[in-house]
Amino acid sequence: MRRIPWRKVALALLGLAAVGFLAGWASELPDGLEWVLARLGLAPEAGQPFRSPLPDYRWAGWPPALEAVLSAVAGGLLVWGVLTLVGKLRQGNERP
Amino acid sequence: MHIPYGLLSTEVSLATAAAAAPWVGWALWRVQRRYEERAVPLMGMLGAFIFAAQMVNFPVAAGTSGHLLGAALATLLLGAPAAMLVLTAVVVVQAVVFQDGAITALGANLLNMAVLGVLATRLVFSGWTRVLGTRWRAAGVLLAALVSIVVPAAACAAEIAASRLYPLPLVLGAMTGIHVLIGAAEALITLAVLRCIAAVRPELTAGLLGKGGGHAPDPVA
Repeated sequence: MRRIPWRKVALALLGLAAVGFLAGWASELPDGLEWVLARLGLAPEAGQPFRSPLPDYRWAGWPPALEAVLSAVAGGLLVWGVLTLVGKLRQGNERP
Repeated sequence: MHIPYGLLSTEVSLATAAAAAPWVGWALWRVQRRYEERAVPLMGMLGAFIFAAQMVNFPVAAGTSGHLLGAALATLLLGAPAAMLVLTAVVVVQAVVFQDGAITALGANLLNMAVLGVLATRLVFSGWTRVLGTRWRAAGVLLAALVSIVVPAAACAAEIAASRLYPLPLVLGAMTGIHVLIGAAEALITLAVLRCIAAVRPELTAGLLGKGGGHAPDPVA
């Protein structure tokens, strides 16, 4: 097991939180696809059968000002974890 | 351009999933065959930051907003196969955890953003350097990033038009029109981020910017 570079980890987490902080002021305007759908009168059907744990990056019961920061850090960590796991598994396969 | 629930027909959902799956499999296989150890932490870091950056919607024009996709950035830094895996991880986490893009549209969203966005970048930038060598590579980066948004937008339009039996030129025109503007922002952000990375870790952008010769780095391709 290699030593964990805590300084880099802390910096990366801080960076994610900073981008999340920025996302707190993200534009609420419809994105390109939503805008096109509205203009062409193509409304999506309602009734999504699958509910995500944190739909629309909302954290029920948490201060709204923190939601974007929490989402950026949690989502970023999750993506990092998935990719690191895939990378390690792949390397493991290479050198048995 | 994450396709939400209730927009695609079952046929289009299945067809796009069937089209995206082999590409993700190919990316896994390629990354497995020629994996450089330093690419693993870079993939993870880049994925985390692309995820966070995609949350930052900026106003574009005509009352719309856009956000970074990151396919061009990942492709230029990591090569096509690793970039596909990075974007796949981002799109899957968005759909499963944050309901950004429907699970039923996951195949289409992966095909558009993780596969076509990456392939478009790759083809445009390698075509550019093949013709022009090391000249005006910054412009090549800008063009590749622009196309990396317009191609997925066009695919998205085709999928929606086919699902809803809507005239394709209408959807295609609207989707590509607005995404040229969003793609221009993608191009500027991609080049700016690459410049920042070049200042701190020049070895990561060798062959992409600056006067140095050689070809685009492709650590895992």
